[in-house]
Amino acid sequence: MSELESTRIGGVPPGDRARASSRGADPSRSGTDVLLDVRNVKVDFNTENGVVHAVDDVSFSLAPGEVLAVVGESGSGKSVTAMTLMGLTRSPNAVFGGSARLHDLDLISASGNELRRVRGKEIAMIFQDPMTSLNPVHRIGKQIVEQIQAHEDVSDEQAMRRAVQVLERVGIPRAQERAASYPHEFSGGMRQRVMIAMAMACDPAILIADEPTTALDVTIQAQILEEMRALRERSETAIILVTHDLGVVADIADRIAVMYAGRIVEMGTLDEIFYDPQHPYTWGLLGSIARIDRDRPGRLPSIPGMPPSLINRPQGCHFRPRCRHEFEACPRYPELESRLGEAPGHHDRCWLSAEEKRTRRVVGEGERDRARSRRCGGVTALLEVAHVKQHFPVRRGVFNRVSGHVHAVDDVSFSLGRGETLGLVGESGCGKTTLSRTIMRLLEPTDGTIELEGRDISHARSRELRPLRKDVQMVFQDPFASLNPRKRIVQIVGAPLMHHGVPRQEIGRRTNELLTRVGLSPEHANRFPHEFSGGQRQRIGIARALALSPKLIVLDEPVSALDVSIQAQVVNLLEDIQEELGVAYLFVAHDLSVVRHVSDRIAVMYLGRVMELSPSEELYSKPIHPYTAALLSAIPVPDPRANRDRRRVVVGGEPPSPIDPPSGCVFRTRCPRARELCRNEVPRLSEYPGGHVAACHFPLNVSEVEVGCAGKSPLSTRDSGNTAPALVEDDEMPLDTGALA
Amino acid sequence: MAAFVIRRLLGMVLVLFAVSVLVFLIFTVIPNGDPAYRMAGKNVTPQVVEQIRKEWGFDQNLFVQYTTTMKKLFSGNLISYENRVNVVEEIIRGLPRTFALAIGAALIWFVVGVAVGLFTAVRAGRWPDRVVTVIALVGISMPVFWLGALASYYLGYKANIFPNGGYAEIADEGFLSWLHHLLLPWLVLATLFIGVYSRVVRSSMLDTINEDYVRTARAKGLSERRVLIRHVLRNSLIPVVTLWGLDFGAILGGGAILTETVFDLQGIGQYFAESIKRLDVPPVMAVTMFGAFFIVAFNTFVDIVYALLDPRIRLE
Ligand SMILES: Nc1ncnc2c1ncn2[C@@H]1O[C@H](COP(=O)(O)OP(=O)(O)OP(=O)(O)O)[C@@H](O)[C@H]1O
Ligand code: SF4
Ligand code: SF4
Ligand SMILES: [Mg+2]
Repeated sequence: MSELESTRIGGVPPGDRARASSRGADPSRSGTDVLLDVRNVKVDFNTENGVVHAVDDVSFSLAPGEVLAVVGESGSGKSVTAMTLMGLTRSPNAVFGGSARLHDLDLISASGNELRRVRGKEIAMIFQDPMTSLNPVHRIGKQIVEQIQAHEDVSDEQAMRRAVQVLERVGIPRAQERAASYPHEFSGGMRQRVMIAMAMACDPAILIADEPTTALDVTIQAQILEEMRALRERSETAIILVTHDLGVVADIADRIAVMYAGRIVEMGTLDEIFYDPQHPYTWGLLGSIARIDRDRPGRLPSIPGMPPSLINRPQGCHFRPRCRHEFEACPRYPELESRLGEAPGHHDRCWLSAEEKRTRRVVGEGERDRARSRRCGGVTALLEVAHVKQHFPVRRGVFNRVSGHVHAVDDVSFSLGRGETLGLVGESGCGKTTLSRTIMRLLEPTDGTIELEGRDISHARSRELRPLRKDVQMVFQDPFASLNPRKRIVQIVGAPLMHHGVPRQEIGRRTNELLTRVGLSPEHANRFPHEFSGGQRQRIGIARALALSPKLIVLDEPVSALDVSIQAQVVNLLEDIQEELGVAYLFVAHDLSVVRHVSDRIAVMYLGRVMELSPSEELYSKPIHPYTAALLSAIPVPDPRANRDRRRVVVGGEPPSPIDPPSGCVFRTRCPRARELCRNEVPRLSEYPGGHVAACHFPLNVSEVEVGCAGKSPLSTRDSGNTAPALVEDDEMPLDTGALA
Repeated sequence: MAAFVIRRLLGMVLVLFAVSVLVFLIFTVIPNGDPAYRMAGKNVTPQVVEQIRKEWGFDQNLFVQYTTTMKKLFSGNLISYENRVNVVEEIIRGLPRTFALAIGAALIWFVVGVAVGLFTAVRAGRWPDRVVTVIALVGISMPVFWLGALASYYLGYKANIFPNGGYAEIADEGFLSWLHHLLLPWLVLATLFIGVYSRVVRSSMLDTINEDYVRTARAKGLSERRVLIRHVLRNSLIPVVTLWGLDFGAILGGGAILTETVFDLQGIGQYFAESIKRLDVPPVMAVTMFGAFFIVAFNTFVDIVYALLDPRIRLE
């Protein structure tokens, strides 16, 4: 409804006009085959606090069938750029400048009606969160029919037939039937497929995908990326892919635009950006990613500081406050232009000369030598978890009879040593969070025992749990939701101290210490959470967890809501704290790269059970369980060449329902190696050399000798059989250890 | 679904039972509550009172009194203490009046409330929104009896545009007269609700407008009108419809006491008010049960409608 009110900046400001005209039609490519031509696009939002310069001087072009990735940290203007092309940012407080030509239409100045004809027909869009992007009250098929009928004059039956066709094409099984389902009856991955089906229903020339896989598990992400690739190949659809995940970029993009504080700071082909990055921000970005395909560096290199406010941006180069290479020229406005003779399509916004860039460039090599020693074995056990089950009843009928159980955690055993980090990974719904909450004793286990320092706490009462609350602390995923917005930082961090009767003056002193410890300044103590960024709030959460000097901190996805550069800062902080205080971590995550970086050992869970438990280097270089291999293979590595060489296995399907898990090996419904035995017998956890245990009848990456002397692990589930693992000749599941080694 | 309805019906029986016991007990403990004295009239002699007690069973214990009252109520033989008329027949007589008032007013306030809510949501923050907001707040804070008295005095008594209260049977006086008599009560009763509903619709729509699926709808190239109706309004109406069902149920059950009384509609609400004034237990019991029945029934109904409107809700 706000569509009609948008204002336009009257042309480009005088200083910029000269530049705009001096530049070619396309700043990064002199192609003839241009589908979309974006020039000097600028978006300002008038807000109470001032003008937010969300997008500034963004120019690029797009050829048919091309995949352009837009990357950058949160708030860098990626989404605003993408949505502006669709006119979805138009609102009374938005001011636009520049142009974006698609055929004969300028998308920036087009009227509401002109735009509407383009939306969905010429440019389609899919969004980050498939859970909320479909209307919950309309049937899937209807929503696609609506898309078709918005642009074409076809009958309901015809439109429905086409809807079913596109659903089939994106791999929805029994599409005819499923078209009558409502969105909530689909999983996240399926919904994202529906979004893609809807987007392609009118055969658009351009698909804009804003973080299309961020909310999905890696195996599902791999399936969705496959789908997008197929779409591009089939119909020459150009794709603008907005993402912060450089692995995804390396997997699928042709060209990359790196955005920082509303501007594109570097633009070039995939290989140019990955192997010859020109802008110091790009160096930092490439360096801060935790990777599965490299040895773990001692610390993750991180970009210091935070992105600037878009209201008061630093003059000239916006990256100045965080740049190590700043010099006299930097306060002047750097153009996005080619500074390299040999690569005319590779542009950047940094004043350093090509020569200087080559000599100064360090991509994440920073402190790689400080690799920390692993603490595996030889440590005394802090936490012993034995055969823990957590079953939730499902109720039905007139009298709410229990008709089944959700097997959220199903016979899990492991131990955790003092000062050790155990990573807990698996797809969403595999029971990671339930297990960690059970260990925290926020839930009482259905069965099994949990021992902390030899004390059985499985069924302890709340009074008996008080000392436990002191020893075990938790840090949550969402730094925005987990801090009380009405409390000052000193109250938040000091609360646990207060509960445990620490005197008032002492609390103030301790709080200051803690804040300093997590890299915040004591002056922050009197502020409120909303005054902090996501990374800073996570630091506050860590400070609160540290207040009582716990022995174990359960970290539930502590960095998954943060940007990579900030992730690296927080991960480094966690490692420093562990080094200094000897606290143990249970690190729950779905991101295998970060887990590898922080963990001494890693447990891989699937459908409430442990599939594999192993020292982390072992796990990544030599996954034994097919599920682990599938997970690793699904992660795109941020290295285009390696990605091209890798043979990847895309595991199909989705995890089955935990109410009625498959018999035998729970992974068998998706496992490419599954055989008769897998259906009939629950595989025991077998011990392999190097402290590696895995529950599979037909393991990968093991020699005959290793299989021969593999014994049954005491961690095995109670219902597991005794059949020893066997080698299979035909490797139906090739594993690309090549790229991982 | 079937299990759900059965469970709710069982619940309803429990609620009705509890309500009836409660009302019965309240009336036996309030002072000056002995019906025999009041029934005996002005010149009481103890013998008369004693005789009435015997005759009406007031000398028996509470449990017996309660069960006989309930038995009479359900067999349609409950007699008022005060004027000795059949309570169930009275209720049946008031039923069409109350229903006519409730149905008409509920339709008006729903349609007008949604329309006003839609209008203000679309213009949120701009002057038409502000003006309507003020009007709605005035509407909400206007006491019904005051507004009703005012309307019936000026428009009825003074200007003679509307009849000065009362109800006209369609059978006796025709449809137009019926309508003429009801129009003012409808509008007065609806005013309060229009104010509330327009605010609820407005805020519900403003929440929905920021939903991701609305953005998706726009990105599909749908017309703004279609986005508003099919995606914004359709989803924002879910809470409004449930609210409406509850309010409607309460008014059907005799909840519009003030409106009925001000306009002298002689509906169930008015009957209830008068019976309370006379501390007349049987009609009070009967009307309370009647009202409780509608409230519980509409609660169940609303839950079912809610599940129909929002496929994510399962009736369990
Ligand atoms: N309607 C608006 N009014 C005011 N500011 C806005 C509006 N929309 C976006 N912004 C601001 O514009 C800036 C760019 O936001 P944008 O959503 O494009 O970032 P992004 O790069 O997509 O980040 P993320 O990775 O978190 O999705 C942010 O500072 C944001 O707060
Ligand atoms: S222009 Fe200057 S401050 Fe900006 S990135 Fe280059 S060297 Fe750093
Ligand atoms: S036990 Fe069988 S089904 Fe399970 S992972 Fe091993 S091979 Fe696959
Ligand atoms: Mg975004």
